[in-house]
Amino acid sequence: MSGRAKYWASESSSSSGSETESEEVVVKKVSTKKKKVVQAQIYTDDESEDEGRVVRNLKDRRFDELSEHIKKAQNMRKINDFSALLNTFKDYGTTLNKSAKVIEKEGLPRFYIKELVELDDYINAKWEDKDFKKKLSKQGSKGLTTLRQRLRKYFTEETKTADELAKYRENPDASEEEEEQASDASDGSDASDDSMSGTSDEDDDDLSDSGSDLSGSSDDSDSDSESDFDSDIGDDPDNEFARYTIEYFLKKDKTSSKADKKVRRKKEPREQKEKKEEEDDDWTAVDSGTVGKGDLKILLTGEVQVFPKDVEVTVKNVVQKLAEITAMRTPKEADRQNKILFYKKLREMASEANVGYGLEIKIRLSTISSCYDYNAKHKDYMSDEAFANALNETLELVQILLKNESIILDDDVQDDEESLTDQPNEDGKWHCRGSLVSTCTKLDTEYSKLLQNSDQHSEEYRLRLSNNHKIMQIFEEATEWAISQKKKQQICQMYLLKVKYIYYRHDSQKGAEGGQQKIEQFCKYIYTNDETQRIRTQAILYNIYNLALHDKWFQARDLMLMSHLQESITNADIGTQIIYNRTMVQLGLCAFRMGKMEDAHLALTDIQSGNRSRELLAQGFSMARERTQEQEKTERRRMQPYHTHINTELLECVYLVSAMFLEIPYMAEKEFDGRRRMISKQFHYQLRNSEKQAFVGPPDNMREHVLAAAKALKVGDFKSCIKFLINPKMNQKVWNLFAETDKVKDMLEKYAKTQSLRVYLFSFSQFYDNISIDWITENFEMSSSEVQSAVSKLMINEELKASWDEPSRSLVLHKTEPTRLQNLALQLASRLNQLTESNERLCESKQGSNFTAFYQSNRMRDWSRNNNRRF
Amino acid sequence: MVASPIEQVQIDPVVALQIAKCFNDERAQDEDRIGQLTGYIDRSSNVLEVTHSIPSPVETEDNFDEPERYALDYLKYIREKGCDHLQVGWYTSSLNSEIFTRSFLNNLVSFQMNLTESTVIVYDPLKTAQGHCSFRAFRISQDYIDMIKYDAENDYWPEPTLKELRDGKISTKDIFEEIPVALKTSFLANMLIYELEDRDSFNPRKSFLEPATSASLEKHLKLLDKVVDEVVNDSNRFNQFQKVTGKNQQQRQTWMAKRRQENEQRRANGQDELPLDEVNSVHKLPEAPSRIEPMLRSVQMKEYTDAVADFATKSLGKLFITDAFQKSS
Repeated sequence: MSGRAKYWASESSSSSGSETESEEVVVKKVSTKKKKVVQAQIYTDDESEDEGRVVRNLKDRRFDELSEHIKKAQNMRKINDFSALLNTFKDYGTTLNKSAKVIEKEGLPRFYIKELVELDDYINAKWEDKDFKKKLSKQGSKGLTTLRQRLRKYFTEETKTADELAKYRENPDASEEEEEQASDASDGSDASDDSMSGTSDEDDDDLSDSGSDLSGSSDDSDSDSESDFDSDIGDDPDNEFARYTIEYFLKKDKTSSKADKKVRRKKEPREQKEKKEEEDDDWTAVDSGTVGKGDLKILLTGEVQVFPKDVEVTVKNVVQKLAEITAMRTPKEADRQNKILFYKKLREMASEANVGYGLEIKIRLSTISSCYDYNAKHKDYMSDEAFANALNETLELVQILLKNESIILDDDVQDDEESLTDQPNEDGKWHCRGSLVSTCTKLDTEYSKLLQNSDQHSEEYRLRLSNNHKIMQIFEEATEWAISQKKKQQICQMYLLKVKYIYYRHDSQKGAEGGQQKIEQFCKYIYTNDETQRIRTQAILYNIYNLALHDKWFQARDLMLMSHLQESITNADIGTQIIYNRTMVQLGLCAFRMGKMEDAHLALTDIQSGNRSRELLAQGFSMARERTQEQEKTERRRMQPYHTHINTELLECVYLVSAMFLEIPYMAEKEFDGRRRMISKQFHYQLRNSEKQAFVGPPDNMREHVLAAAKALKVGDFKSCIKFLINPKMNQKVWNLFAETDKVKDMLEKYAKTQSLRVYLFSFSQFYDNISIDWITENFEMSSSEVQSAVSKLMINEELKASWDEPSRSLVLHKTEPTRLQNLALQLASRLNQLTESNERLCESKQGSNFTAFYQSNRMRDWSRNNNRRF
Repeated sequence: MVASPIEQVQIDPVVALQIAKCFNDERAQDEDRIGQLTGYIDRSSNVLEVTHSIPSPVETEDNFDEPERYALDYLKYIREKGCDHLQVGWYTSSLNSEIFTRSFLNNLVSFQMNLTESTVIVYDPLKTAQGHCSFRAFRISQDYIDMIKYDAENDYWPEPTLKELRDGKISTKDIFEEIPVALKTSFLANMLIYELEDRDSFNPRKSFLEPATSASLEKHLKLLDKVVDEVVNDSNRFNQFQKVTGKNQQQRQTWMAKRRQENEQRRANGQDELPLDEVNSVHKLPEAPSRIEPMLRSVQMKEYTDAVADFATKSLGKLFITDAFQKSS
């Protein structure tokens, strides 16, 4: 097409100066001056046409040019390429200017008016379509806007044209007779022109035409405009423009687009006839045994053609065709879409011809894989339509497999075992190579990519997410199939896929009922039957996650400990490590809900330290680290879909609160101990930061609330501690995210009370000789048994030197603070201990380890004895 | 010079008072004061008699060489007066028995290199204030002096290396020697003392039974703790050194074995043999940590423990006395 356009363009420019006065142009002469390519093209034309010179009329030339542009514009419209459309529109202008003389004489050509009307309608329709505009690329929308403005301007400036338009709109069929006449008059030259345009590039044109047509029709947004375009043609088949298009459509008739064009040729009928025969030979003479390459085409009417019309569809042909389609190189998006259409058509025809299940499955598998075929460089996820396509195809495939137990789909099937005939193999089964499980896995990965690449808060994400149900259905059926096939490994894989879609949901959620039992059942199967480490590991992790989600702390913890994953997880692949991190976090949250602060803190420390929680959970990037584009891409690919995310603020809050409940009593206990260590670095950091501030305002965010609570706890003020922890703000931000909020809050309250009692006793017991239990119960709002158990625990752990005095119901405190000198002596003793140890190491390196063993055991005994005797 | 070593240091009361005066000064707390001692050596009884002391003026930045000139001038004047002008050592003070430092050792070495009989007198103002007049004399043992070699070029005595110490079999207790100190007062002075004692006799009202050592005991424990910590570090450093040495030895051996093999092959081929001593450049021996400092620390540690033991025995003694008093009353 482009070659031709160039040809026209250059011709008109070179001829415009010299040839406007002489009405005739000698193309042959001109063309010899042209570039080589064009020459060659013309040469072939000449060959086929047997004619030296073509003489053409200026008016025809201009109008041809115009109609050429119009044709182009129609294609542009179909693929919604606005910037190109804008250019074509500009071309109208230049062409009209050039042919001003002709127009003066003849009036505006009918087809041009029609085109303008259509263009106007089209633009308006697009302009109204808000959804469509949203989807447009930036360039596209810009093109649309400018085009609309231009059109408006054009109509207002050229009132004459506008009038004509209005006239046309009123009565599209009017004056068709005169137009007819006019066109008849020009027909003679038209014909020669048509043949001029040559057959050599006609093929390409056709292909791209069909390509654009297809992409247009697959796009639902402009289907309406297209349909009215079609109906227009149907309405007035005789107008000038329609003659150029409709006849293409009608006469091509599934064999060739060109051959029939020549029917219209009135001049030189003999040659034309010859030509026709020649062409017919070209396009219809197909060897029935083999199928030619050029058979794949999509006609402008939307018909897909795979085989030539009269070819018998046989097994052999289908196999060959399948190979041909598969081998098609598809550089453009449109071509890929075509490919799927070809596949579909082929399958239809194949099933009509009843070529057997083997082939049908094979075609289906190819279709599915070509659905996933997208340009990874350009964008790394597939389009929604393609995905929907793939989804449907997979579903159908699974259903066929389920219905026909005689089909064997397996990766191990050899080439020569495949049942590519209309008969099953000797064993009465259809063998086919492929794997349903990997198809499902691919579906899963593509789905998550799709989710990763849409904005989490948009409608789009929700729409995409709604596929979940369908995917689950496919998995469900695929699992059934796998079970019927008795392939343990495949069943395991399918189970894992299913678990992956339900493990993160709480039973109380809508549509997730019974998830626990399902997971339990699937995971148990996997534990006993899986042969690969990876699936088992992931299954265990999912299982733990789900258990922890449902507050089954002990089960979850035991499973985690029994699996020994904590030791080996560093060797696992990154995907599994992410699941592990998620599981640990969930375990920590579970421990927190159960009131087990130590466990919660332990489980969360790894994730929370270092400010990388988002990255470790694959819920986002950390800004700090520099990475290359490639790294970023791989990281992006690992991201968890948004609906499975664990709220990081909740995480941080839980971590800080658990750290607070551990750290503050510990700090109070070891206030004067020089060797005090930190339990949570992060908490300390936050605490220090807030203590550094000269003025502390009322807490605003979650962190400040926790710190304020920590400060209250530090002086044993449980009331304000609870107030800072549990208030509407915190409820909204954090606590309401738990399934059973009230339980958690109760737990927190209770915990805060005991801990503040502990802190109080540690910090202020030195000022008391004894404390009455009643006083404690009153001040800490605890029952006396609670107080007893809490304080007794302290005594047993030797954290508090005190004893109960039952008769008076009071706590008697013992003063045990060592004097300064004693402290110093203790310090010196420990230092000396270090010295002996390091000395022994010195000896060891000289004498070997046996030398000191005996001595050391003696010394240790002495040392412990001394320690006991210290006071 | 082979002469029998000094067995006793005899201090003239004037010198003792001069030294005490020098350090009982208010400013003495934060200034590092030293002074020089003159006297003569009594060869017949191997006694070093200290008869004069010259306090050195405080060194400041602008009178950098003044102390030296001052000392020389001073020596010149007392020689003119017919006094003893032989420099027999120097005196310094120590609070809480903090004495044995590297500079102390180096000073003493340089004195003893000039005059073998030189000693240092250490005065402890704190103890003296508590009623225990404390003058102690130290010198460096002859073994140590024999071991170190004078570096004539740079005019100083390099610190002995680990190997030298090992070969010389010098252990911690072999570095310093303490010499008994005697205060010899003139008869006239003795008479005065008796006179004074009569006038102001022993006053039992003073709480002489109080242990009163708590403060300095604490101080000593703290210092002890510090020095033990340092020794631990030294020990660790040494341990590290041994590890590195062991590794180095192994590397050397493998290198040597390889080289020998190569040499054998070369010999068979009739080529020249490669030198074996290249090993030193390939695998350098790790530098040994300084040995003398840990040794000094050990000496210091011993000093502290002695002091603590001293306090303890005194306090215990007092406790026993108290006990006896209680029983009798």
